Amino acid sequence: MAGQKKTLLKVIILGDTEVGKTSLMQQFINGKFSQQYKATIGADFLPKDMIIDDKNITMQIWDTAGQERFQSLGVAFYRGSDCCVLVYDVTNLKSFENLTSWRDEFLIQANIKDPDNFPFIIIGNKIDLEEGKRLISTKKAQALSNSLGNLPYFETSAKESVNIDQAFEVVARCALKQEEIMEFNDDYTDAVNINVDDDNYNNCAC
Amino acid sequence: MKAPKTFPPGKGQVLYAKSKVYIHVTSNKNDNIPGYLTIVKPFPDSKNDELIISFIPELDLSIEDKTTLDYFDLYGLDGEKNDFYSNNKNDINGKNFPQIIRFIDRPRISSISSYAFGAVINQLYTIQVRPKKTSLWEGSIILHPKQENDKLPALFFHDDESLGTKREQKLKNQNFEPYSENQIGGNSLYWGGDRFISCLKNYATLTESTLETGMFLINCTQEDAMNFVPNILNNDQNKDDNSYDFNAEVNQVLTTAKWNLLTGLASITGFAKKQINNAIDNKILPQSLQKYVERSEVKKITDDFDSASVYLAKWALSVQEEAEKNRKMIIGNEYYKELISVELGDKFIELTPLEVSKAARRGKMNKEDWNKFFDSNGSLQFTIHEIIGQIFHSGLEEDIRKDAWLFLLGVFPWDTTVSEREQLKKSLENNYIEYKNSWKADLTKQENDAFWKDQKVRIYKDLKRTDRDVDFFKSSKGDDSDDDYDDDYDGSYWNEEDEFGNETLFHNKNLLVMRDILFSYNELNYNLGYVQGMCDLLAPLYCVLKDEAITFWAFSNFMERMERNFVRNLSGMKAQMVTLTELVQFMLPDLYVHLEKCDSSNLFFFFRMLLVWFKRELSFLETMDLWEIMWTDYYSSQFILFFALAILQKHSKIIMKTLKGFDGILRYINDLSGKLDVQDLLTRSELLFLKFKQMVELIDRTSAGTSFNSKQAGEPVKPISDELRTLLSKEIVIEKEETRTSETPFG
Ligand SMILES: Nc1nc2c(ncn2[C@@H]2O[C@H](COP(=O)(O)OP(=O)(O)OP(=O)(O)O)[C@@H](O)[C@H]2O)c(=O)[nH]1
Ligand SMILES: [Mg+2]
Repeated sequence: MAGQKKTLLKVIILGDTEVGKTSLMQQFINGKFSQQYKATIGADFLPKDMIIDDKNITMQIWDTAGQERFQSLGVAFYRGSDCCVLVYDVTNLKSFENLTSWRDEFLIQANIKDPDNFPFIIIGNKIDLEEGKRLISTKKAQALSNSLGNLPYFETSAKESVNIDQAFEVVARCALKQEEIMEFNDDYTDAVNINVDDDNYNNCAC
Repeated sequence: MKAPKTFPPGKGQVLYAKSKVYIHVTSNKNDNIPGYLTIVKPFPDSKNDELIISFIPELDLSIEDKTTLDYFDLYGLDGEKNDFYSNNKNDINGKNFPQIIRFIDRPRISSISSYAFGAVINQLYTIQVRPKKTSLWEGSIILHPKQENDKLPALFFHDDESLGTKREQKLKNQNFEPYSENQIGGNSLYWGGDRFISCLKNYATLTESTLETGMFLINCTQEDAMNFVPNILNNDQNKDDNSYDFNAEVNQVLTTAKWNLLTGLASITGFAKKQINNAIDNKILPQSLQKYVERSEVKKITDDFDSASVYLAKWALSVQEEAEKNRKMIIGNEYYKELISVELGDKFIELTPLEVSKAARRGKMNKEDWNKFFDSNGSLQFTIHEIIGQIFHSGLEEDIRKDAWLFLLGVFPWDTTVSEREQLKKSLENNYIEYKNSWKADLTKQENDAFWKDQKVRIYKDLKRTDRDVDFFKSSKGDDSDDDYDDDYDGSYWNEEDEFGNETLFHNKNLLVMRDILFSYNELNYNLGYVQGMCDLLAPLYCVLKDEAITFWAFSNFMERMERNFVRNLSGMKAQMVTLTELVQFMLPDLYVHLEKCDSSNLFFFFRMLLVWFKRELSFLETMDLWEIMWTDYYSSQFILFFALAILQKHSKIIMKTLKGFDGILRYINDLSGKLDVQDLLTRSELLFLKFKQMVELIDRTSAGTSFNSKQAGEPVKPISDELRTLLSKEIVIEKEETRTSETPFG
């Protein structure tokens, strides 16, 4: 199964409205920044092929809406995620403070079985904005990442393409690891089915 | 074989296992928790009544234990070699001990982090058995512990998935004994829970209550027997008259009380709620979740499990479910199928290319055409129906929109003269100034009103991102579209300030006007406030009308019908999604069946399209082409749903042939953005509407008459659902946001 087949990894980006989720996704996938992206309504995903340690993978990156009212819709798309990226805006305190709620909401709504080991990544975006506007220091953000379980933390600029590829490579690795844990379980059930096929037990005429 | 004297550390011996037993956490099958029902002997010296009955979710099991349980599920106590039929009375301490001795981790009695649970036999009071009656319902059991407030969830046996049950059924069929081993509620076929009861009988005495079929008392005391099995009681009394001296009346009261508790059933809601409350009290959740549940909002939710966020999370599900209620009425209902094909033609429901090309739309109405409708006083010389029909069928050229939209949006009534309209315009302008001043002149509000300030942030955030690709809203600091992004940009022009000294980041004075309109709309409709998506609705209006006060009123009128899309609990959107789903069932049944298979029958991908009327999928100008048609309400005030239907109709063949999953369908529909042919789709929408109307009329006609037809078809005639019927109405559906209080959240 792992041989030729491409592994599909589902990654979901969460965070308050306007922190730059859509811009991050676009920068990573299309290498572009535009002032013309609109506020996201509903959810959308874009695929991106990557090679990680000689493995072909396709990352399916899901961008969701940040406004409270439409968050409940995002929930429908949480299931089956292999990794979750939590984004805040380094010049927006509230977006930073809300990270924990986003994480908890995700854990609950996505029905994650092993919440303590699910991979999250924290991104502080818009570091290109002038120093004076910045409200969350690297130190403060790192402290939060540590307290949430040593989560990988990146500071990025979607606008000037700083640290985007690095961040998403770690996202891919984490997702891959998570996916392998899940796949292991899947293979096991397959094996059982094959045994039974040999005995023709599931061809019963009842 | 003898019972082993020692067990491996931490392990218990499996005496029974059944695979694919589920907890149905909600009514959505995606939420079901699959697992194993087991009977385990926890220690070498455990007695029969110390065995543990437990439910172990699949995800909680180690691979080893899962293999063991699968083996037991498939072959039972005696292993694969022995006859499945040797249903000896086994006793774990006696001689006929199971041939197969295997161990799994000793099941826990309770678990907070997962749905696992268990109960020692001597702590169980009753077991309620609901055998599988039809292929539609899974059989289930519920364990009732003696502790009356411990409620355990029902366990459903998914027989079609359980390899063990399938094998047992097959063997039974081969022996011509397809029936249940434990006759509960008459003859029923063998099902997954059957073997469990048979097996449990080896270790405990099960006494069926004569008060309710399927309720078994476990190792019942005589007192219990009195309460629940009056027949036994009578027999016993005959034997020994004095031993049960009780006050019949008191007993009766007790019986009912207990009974109510038991039949109050272990609803999963209660179960989950209890779990969470327990967890909060004992602080034994994983750290992350602990923090979450300590938040006051979450506490509130656990108090009222069906409230806010849970309700919202189930939103999509309920759309699907409500629509499914009506599903059986229409899809696969041979009576209607035949009726329609006989009365309206074989392929009536399909749109042929010929039909579409014949119905092609007329050229747009130009200034000259428009002027012909009015006399020298500017009064309409034709009926409203005529001019509306004309606009509906042809649309408007750009240069008459400025005039025509004011009528379409109800700013001016159709039956006015030029001078009346001028007067009206003046008073509208004055009214607008009042709304505008109520925030602009109120500095206290601007500085201290938390809600107002929050609204302001939201409006700024969105305006900054509204249609910046359209010339009218482009940044005055030059174009920074994708292609010629300015690498030398030094960040300085971002510091443009508005009159309050705030950065606007707009660099466009039209966006500042839009800001004023939105702030003023907040004064007019304080309950609703600003919600994301509203600036999408405003932009085309202001771009065409260009007059601030007039645009304000046009926008307010547009919002009359659009408010239902933005109310906090999303009920208006939900209603439309339900209606659309039913419409798809009715008009495109084959596609609907396919969407169901792809987990897409909730039509999620139409959410954004309906919310802002395809603004995100169409170009700025195409959006205008579409909206003005919708505003006519020529056939239906919800004609937008027929436009959505037309998209599905046009693409149904491809979707059915090539797309197999939720992701794929979502992707496909999202990718239609920028590729929708509005005119072609409007043609289809109209044809679909007319067919819809004909079908409804036909069904109504036959339903209204005697039940002759329905009797013949052996099927009661069911009327068209209310949702579908409202599609025939031109009356705008209005739903207002609830009154804002100090408790209402901002978002
Ligand atoms: N200076 C700067 N601005 C950015 C950056 N990333 C995004 N922005 C701007 O921030 C605003 C919001 O960006 P989006 O990508 O639309 O934000 P979002 O998180 O997708 O927002 P929602 O869709 O509403 O949830 C836009 O005006 C972007 O141009 C960045 O790295 N630096
Ligand atoms: Mg976005």
